Amino acid sequence: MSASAPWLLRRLAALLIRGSEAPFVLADLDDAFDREVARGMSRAAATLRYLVNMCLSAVHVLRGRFAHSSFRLSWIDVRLGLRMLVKHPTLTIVSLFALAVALPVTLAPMHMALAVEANLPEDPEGRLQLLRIVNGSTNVNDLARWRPALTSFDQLAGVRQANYNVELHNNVDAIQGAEVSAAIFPMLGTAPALGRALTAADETPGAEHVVVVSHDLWHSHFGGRLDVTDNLIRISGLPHRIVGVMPEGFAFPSRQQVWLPLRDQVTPAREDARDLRILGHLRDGVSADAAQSEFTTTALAGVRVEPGERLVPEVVPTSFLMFNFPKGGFRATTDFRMAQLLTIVPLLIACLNVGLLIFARTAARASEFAVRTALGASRSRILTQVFTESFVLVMFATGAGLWLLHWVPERALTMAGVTLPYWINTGVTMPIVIGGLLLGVVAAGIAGVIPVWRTTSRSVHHTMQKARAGKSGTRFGGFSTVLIVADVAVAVAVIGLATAVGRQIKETTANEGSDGITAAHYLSFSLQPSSRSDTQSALVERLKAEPGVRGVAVATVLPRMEHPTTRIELADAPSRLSRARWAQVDPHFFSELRQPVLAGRGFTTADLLPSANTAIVNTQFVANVLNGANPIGQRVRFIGGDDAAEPGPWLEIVGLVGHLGMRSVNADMDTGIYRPLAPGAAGQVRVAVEVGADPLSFVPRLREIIWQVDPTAVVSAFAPLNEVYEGDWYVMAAAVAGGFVLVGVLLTMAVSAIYAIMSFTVAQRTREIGVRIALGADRTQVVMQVARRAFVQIAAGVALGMLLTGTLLFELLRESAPTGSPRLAIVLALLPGVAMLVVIALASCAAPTLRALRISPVEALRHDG
Amino acid sequence: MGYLGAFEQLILFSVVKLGEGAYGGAIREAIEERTGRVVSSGAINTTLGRLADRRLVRATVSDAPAGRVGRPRKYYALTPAGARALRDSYADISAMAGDLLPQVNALTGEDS
Repeated sequence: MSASAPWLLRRLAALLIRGSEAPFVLADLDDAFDREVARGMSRAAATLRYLVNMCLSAVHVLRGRFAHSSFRLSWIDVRLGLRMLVKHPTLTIVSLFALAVALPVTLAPMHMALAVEANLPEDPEGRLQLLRIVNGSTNVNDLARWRPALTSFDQLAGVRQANYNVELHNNVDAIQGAEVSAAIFPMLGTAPALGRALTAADETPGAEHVVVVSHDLWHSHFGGRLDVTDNLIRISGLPHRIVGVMPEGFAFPSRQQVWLPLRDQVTPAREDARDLRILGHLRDGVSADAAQSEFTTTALAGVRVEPGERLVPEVVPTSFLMFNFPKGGFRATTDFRMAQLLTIVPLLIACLNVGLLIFARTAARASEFAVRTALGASRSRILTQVFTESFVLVMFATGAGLWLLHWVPERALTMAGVTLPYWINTGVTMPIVIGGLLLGVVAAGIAGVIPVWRTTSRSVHHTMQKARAGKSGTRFGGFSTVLIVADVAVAVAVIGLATAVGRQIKETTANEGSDGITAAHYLSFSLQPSSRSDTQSALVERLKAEPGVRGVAVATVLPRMEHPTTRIELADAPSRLSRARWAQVDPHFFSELRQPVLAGRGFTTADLLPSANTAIVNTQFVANVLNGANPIGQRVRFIGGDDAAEPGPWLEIVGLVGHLGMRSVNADMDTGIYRPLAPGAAGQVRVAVEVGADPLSFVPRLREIIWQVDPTAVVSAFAPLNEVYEGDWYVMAAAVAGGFVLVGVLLTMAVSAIYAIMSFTVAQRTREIGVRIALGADRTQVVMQVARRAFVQIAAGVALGMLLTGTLLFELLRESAPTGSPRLAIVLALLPGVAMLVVIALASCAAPTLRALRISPVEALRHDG
Repeated sequence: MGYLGAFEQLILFSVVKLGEGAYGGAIREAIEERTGRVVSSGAINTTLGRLADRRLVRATVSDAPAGRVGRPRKYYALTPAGARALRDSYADISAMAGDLLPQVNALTGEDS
C-alpha cells in the first residue's frame, strides 16, 4: 500500500482546488507525494513539497478559472484597499488588533508542536532515533544486546543526563552534564573545537577520569584559554582531566555543559542495571518505519516479561529524549487536538466581526456600487474589489500576527526564566509562515464573504431605487444580531471567569500567613540522589549543628508547592472514593516547621518500618473526606490513577495537622495526607532550612557544608520558601493574562460592531428621524426607538453570558466561598464586568444617537432629494 | 489557431514523448526531469484544460491503473491541430532564433 500525504493537507487541498480539473490535480499531488516517499525522501520533506505544490496549484487553478472573467486580483484593487485602510482608521485599527491577536493564538499549537518535535541541528535529516520501551526502561544490558542484533542502525549509543557538582575556582556549581557513549560524537557528526572527543578507551573501568566541556563553560570559566586541555577539574569530588572542548552551540541533549564517558557494565540480571537512554543512527537507505519493524521483533528477544506487563518497543525521534510524547509525537496527543480546536474559535469570531465591520463600511457604498453596475461593471468585478479590500486588511494583520508569534514566546520565556533545550527554536519557521499565510487567505475569505454576499444579494434595480431614496437598500439582518449577542456573551463570561480566578489568587495571597510558617525565613532547595544512602541524614545532622540554623525539614514536596494528587479509599466507606494531595515527610518534618500536631501523634522512627503503614492527615481532609469525624484510628489507602493498578496497603491515620499549603491557588482544597519518609528512600527530596531573614545569603555556606558531607550529592533550585509557588499558580496567572487579552479583543469587537450598526441605522433613518422631530415627536422616544435594537442585543448577550458562566463559576466559587452563598459570589464576580460592558456598549450607541437628534428637517429633506 | 506559449510547447512536447502514458503527473515529472523547472500540478492541468478547449489535445478519462485504487487520471493525446500548432510554433521560434544564439549569449555576458 502506498503512503499518503497528511490527511489535513489533503482536505485543505480539496478545499482550495476546485473546478472540473480538481480531481486530476489532487490525484497528481498524491501521486507525486507517493513517488517521492518511495524514492526515499523523508515524509517531512515530501509533505513540504506537497504543500508548495498544493499552494502553487491552487493559485494556478484559480487563475485559470477566472482568466476569462473580470474576477482578477488587480493592483488597482490593492491600492484601493490600501486607501480604505487609511480612510477608515478606526476600523483598520480594530480589525488589525483583533486579527493580529487571534491569528497567532490559532497558530500557537502547531508552532509549539513543530518547535518541540524539531530535529537536532546536528541531525537535520532526523537519522538519529531514540530506542525506547514503553511501560519499561532501557539500560546498558539492552545496549549490549541490541548493538550486534539491530541491522537498521549503523551505531548505537547510551546517554544519561545528570547534574554534577563541579568545583571551579574554589566555587562549587551544580552543572548539567551527561554520561555518554563515545559513539555519540561521530553519530552527531560533531568534532570537538579543541582537543579530542571521548573514545572507547575512556569507557574502560579504571581508566583515567576525563571530561569534555562545552564552549560556554570553556569561555566562562577558563577564559577561552587554548591550553585548557589537560587541566584538572573536580567533578563530584573526583579530579577529571579536560580532554576536549565542544564547538559553540553544542549542548546535546538539552543544555549540557560537561560530557563524561559512560562506564556502565553489563549486569547478570537486567533489572540490576541503571536506567539509560539509547540512541541509534539509521543506516543509509533505511527508513524509521523499517527500523521500527526490526526493533519490534528484536528488542525484547530473550527478555523475561512478567505476566500482565505490556512492554512496547518503539523507535521515535530524538526530541522524545526530552518530552515523553506518544509514538505520533505531540501532534498525536489529545491536548494538542483540543488546543487546535479551541484556538480556532477566537480567529473565527474575529473574522466574522471584521466581516461585519467591512460590511458596514461597504453598505454605505451600496449606491456607488449600484451606479457602477448600471454603467456596466459586472458583479464579479465588484465582488473582486470588496474581497481585495478584506484581503489587504487581513494580510497586514497576518504579518503583525506572525511577528507577534515570533517575538512573544521568546520574550515570555526569558521573563519567566525558562530555558529550553538548545535545539528548540521559538522563532517562526517557514512552515508556520506558510500556514499563517494560508490561514490569512482563509480569514480573508471568511471576512470578505460577508460583505460580498450581503452587498450583492439584492438586484441592481432594487438598490438603485433605494439609492434614489437616500438609502443603501442593504440590511444587517439577523446575522449581525447573533454576532453581537455572541460577542457580548463571551466577553461577560471571560470577565466573570477572570474576576473569579483573580479573586482566588488574591485570597490565597491573603491567606499566606494562615499556616503559621514564616516562609520568608526558610531556604528551600532540592537534594539529588547520591550513591551513599546516608547522605540525607548526615546532611540534616550537620545543618542542625550549624550556628544560626533553627530547623531542617525534609520532604518529597514542601508546603506551598504543587503536591501530587491520588485517589483514596476509606476502609469505613469503600464505595466513596475521594481525591487527596499527598507528600512523604521526614518524621521530624512538622516539628521542624513548628507545626503542632492537633490530634493523635506525630511520626516517629518506628513509622519508618515497612510494616508500620501509618499516615497523618490535615484538617481539610477531616472536613472534606471524613465530614468532620475523628480521623484517629481510621484506615485509608491509595488507589492510584490507573484503574488496573493494585491499591496500596491500608494506612492507619495516627495524627492530625493543620493545612500547610498543598495547592497554591486554592488553599481550602488542601485535602492532604502525609506518609513518613525514610532517609535516602526518595530519589530526590526537598529541604527547607530555617535560617532567618534573607535566606539566600546562606547558600554559599550550605554549598560548603554539602561539599564536605558528600561531594557527589547535587543541590539546586535555591529559593526562599515563600517564593516556591509552582503548578496552578503559573497556569492561573497565564490564564488571567490570556483572559485579559481575550476580553480586550472581544470588547473591542463588540463595541465596534454595535457602533457600526448604530451609525448605519441612524444614517438609514435620517429622513424619518428629521421629519419626526420636525413634527414635534418626543426626543426621548426617538432616542429609545433608535437605540432599542442595541439595548436588546446587549441585554440578550449579558443574559446569555451569565447563563454560560453561571455553572462554571458555581463550581469554581463553591469551594472558595464555603461560608457564603455561591450565588452571591457569582453575582459579585460578574457584576463589575457586566457593568463595565453595559457602560461601554451604551457609550458606543451615544454618538450616533446624538447625531440623529441633531438632524434638522431641512437637512432631512435635502437628504431625501 | 493561435500562438503557443513556451510553457504550452513544453507540455505538448511532453505529451508527444510520453505517448499513451501522458497524464498530468507524468508530464510534470517529464518537464522537471528534462528542463529542471519546478512546475505545479495545477499549472499543468489548467494548461492542459485550456489546450483541450482549443482542441489542440484530446483528453480521455481513465479508470485507476491495475492494482491502484481510487485516483482518476486524464490521459492526453495531441490532435492533428495540436501537432500542427506545435510544429508551427516551434518552427517560428527556431526560425527567429536562427543564428542569433551567439549574439544572445554575448549579451548575457557568459561564455558560450
